[in-house]
Amino acid sequence: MNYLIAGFGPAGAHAAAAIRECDPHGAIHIFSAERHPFYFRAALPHYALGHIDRDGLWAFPAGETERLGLRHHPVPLVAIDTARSVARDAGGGEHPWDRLLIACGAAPSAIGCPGESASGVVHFDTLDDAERVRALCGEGGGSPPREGGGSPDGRAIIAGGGARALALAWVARRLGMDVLLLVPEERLAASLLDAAAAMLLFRRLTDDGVEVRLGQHITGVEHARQGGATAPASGSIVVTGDGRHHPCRWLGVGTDGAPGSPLAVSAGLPEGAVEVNARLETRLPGIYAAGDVCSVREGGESLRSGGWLAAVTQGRVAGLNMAGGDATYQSSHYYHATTLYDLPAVLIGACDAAGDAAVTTHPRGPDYRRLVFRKGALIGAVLLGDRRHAAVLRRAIELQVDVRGYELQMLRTDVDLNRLLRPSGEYHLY
Amino acid sequence: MGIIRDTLRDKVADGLSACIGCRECLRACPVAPPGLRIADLNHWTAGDAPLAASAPIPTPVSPAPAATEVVAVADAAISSPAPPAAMVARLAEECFQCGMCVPVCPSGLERDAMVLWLKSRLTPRPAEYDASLRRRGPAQTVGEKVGVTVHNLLHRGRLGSLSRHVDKRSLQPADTLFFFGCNIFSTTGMGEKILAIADYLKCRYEVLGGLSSCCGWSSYLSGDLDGAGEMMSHLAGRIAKVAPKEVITPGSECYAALSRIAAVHRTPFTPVTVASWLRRNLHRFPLRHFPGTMTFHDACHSSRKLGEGEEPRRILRQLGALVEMRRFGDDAPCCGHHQFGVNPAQVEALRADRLAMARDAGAARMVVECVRCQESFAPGAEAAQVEVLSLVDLVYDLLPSGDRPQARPVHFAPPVQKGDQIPIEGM
Ligand SMILES: Cc1cc2nc3c(=O)[nH]c(=O)nc-3n(C[C@H](O)[C@H](O)[C@H](O)COP(=O)(O)OP(=O)(O)OC[C@H]3O[C@@H](n4cnc5c(N)ncnc54)[C@H](O)[C@@H]3O)c2cc1C
Ligand code: SF4
Ligand code: SF4
Repeated sequence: MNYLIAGFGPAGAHAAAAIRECDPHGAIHIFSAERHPFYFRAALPHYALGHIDRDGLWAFPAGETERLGLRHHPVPLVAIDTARSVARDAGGGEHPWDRLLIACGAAPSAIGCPGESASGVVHFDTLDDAERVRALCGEGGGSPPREGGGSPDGRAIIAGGGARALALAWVARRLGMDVLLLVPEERLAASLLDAAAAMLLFRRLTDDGVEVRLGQHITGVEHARQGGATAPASGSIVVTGDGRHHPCRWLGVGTDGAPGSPLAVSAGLPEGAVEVNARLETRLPGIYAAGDVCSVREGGESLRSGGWLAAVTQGRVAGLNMAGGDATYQSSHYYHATTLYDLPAVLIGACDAAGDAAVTTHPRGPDYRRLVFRKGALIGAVLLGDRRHAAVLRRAIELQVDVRGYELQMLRTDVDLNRLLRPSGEYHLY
Repeated sequence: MGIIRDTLRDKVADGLSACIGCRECLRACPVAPPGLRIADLNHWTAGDAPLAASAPIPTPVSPAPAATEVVAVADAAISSPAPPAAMVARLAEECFQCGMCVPVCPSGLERDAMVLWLKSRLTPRPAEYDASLRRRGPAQTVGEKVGVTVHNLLHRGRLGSLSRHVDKRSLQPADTLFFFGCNIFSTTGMGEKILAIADYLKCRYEVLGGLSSCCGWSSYLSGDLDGAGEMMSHLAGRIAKVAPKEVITPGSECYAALSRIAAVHRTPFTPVTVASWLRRNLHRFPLRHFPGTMTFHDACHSSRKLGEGEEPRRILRQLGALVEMRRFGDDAPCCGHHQFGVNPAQVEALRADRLAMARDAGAARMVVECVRCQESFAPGAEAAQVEVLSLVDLVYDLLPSGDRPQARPVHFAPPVQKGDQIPIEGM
């Protein structure tokens, strides 16, 4: 059996490991658009900050690629020919497959305006990007913002208001830059947080000296005019929809990439997120998809997905099924932990469902949490700031514990939820 | 009680797949070998296979650096990176389950539980663990029963009136149960003082203490999951005989164990820290202000892990001037008690560092809540010129002298020795 995996992120890597568990002899070829082995992409902010070295970023234990018998081809696949069951790589090489997994992550972030590919514009998707961000920040040179902004030489402008933009803003600020965040939406982290939580996050950024402008679209990027009074010595001038010009040392593009891949389209699948069922099968025989590239549909409904854990779990489910197993992905077990600027955030279960009851903490407090209930059980939770109890809440959702009467107390972080809920049945909440 | 093992296994599996590899846990860990990669650590953590105990642990250069980050000791000890398995095993042995790795994890995971899972698979277990835990819990063999009896007889004189509660067979129903477990033998004298305070408050209570009613948490923290499960079941049965509304304990880890017992066995009692009990009754004591500034050391298992850090501070604010140390609350380091003496130099450095923090904060006194923290810090107090005392000591001091039966000065054990971590003599 010939297995082809497009993508050496968590979805691809865990699929490969799962295939090997079931099929000791099959050939597993794994392709990537980067030259590096499997690495902890979600730890890139920590890498850029110097908290972890390059060696510590590799996500497989020493010798794992060899132990699993994987062949890593550091070249992207560009087309899938379903009639011949062959995939073509960017160098023109053709590779036959019996089972194929599309796990190439979300499309790289982009703003889609003139000048975007100029030097001085950086993304934050890959290890190479993280190294570039670190180099561009250099000695920093920013200052606490004052009226009219700090020196353009010490300023980074970051486009976007989602998780990636916020991670980039955090890294740039910690590396000593003044940061101007230009957010196209009317609130921060719009796809992740409700308005109250977004306001808390907004306050955190501004308290830390980040200038945030909401509803701002970038219409162009120009090279800085050398030596002008307001222009940086080198760098860019960012033009926004309101006609204003913002000089800076560098522009960071942090708009979150959309799911989907041209590779899937080449196989005849529709544009946008690659739709899969709970077994991670696309509608094309033998072709699976997992991780950020896909969207899992259950009962005609597209379920929330994305993030490291979803990619790991989906990769595993896809791998098992590719090798002849029968595994399903449970979207109700969704758990996405991330850091928004420097505030931990955890989204669990059906966190944006309406439910039949919801409780929230006072939005003026330093932390925020929202719990959603249906028929007496917790079905979703959003935690911002204080992520205590995340594991117990996750477990309570998975086990559908009856929590009637405890809804408000469950918002507290100073109670032992295990003891409070005294779950009935032969299980324990941790 | 397989539930302890099963729950931990599930928790570890969940944690491993959600780990994003940022290494913040190991950066916060006071004992993690610097070259240890998360990928290797996670790889070794997964599964049930036994983990070979590491080669002899390199001894840090002497003298142990006081008042510096303990991480520096680990740095000095490793000159070239050891093989991953050896580093993983070393972390598993030396980890004292302080939980410093938990609040820093951006993914909300519990690295302490993952390392505990590794500990549970160490073969052979470090001899120091077994030496420290020998004879705790419901004694099984005849030899062990004899050992416990001899131990109790030897300590009868030192324990005074408390000795009547040691391993007693008959327990009377009471709303309030003081649980001392093996801490009844503590050289801090805390148990006797607590009962004096309870008598002053005219509280009707029962007392449970002795090696055979150990809560099992020390065993749990050493990775003996099945042994811990048995001890907890046994203790649940003993508590049921008293049928208390609340169980009050001065041990941070006993509190954690009682919380677990209350949850797993669905027993109707409420575990209470001694700090909560004292704070609730503070208005009933003749209050006065203690001179000088005090600082508070958070105990890992109650204050930090179970969020009970505010109650002790409320007491201290009423009794004097409270200053915080450079590291407090979620960032407070551990007293190192549960390393069981595996690497004494490392633990000594950690304790010296903590006492130096208290001194640097300008505190004349470092107040602790947990009896184990007091035992850990007291030996170094004089050298650090910081008085180490417990909340119980402070409140006991408020009592009119006629209500203070225990005139005997607090007697502390000598500094920690390898293999002799827990100052229960004769153990
Ligand atoms: C800066 C940053 C911070 C993040 N922080 C968090 C966090 O805190 N928590 C969290 O849960 N998630 C976080 N994430 C998101 C997380 O990293 C992703 O959800 C996860 O990596 C998705 O895994 P994946 O396997 O689907 O794709 P990816 O990890 O994106 O991997 C895609 C792979 O596909 C390859 N590829 C692309 N195109 C092709 C092609 N045509 N052919 C072959 N290979 C191709 C790429 O080279 C790569 O190897 C963060 C991401 C970034 C960038
Ligand atoms: S519990 Fe403490 S010693 Fe153990 S791994 Fe975590 S931080 Fe390190
Ligand atoms: S801090 Fe959490 S996510 Fe980061 S490496 Fe440690 S366990 Fe994994």
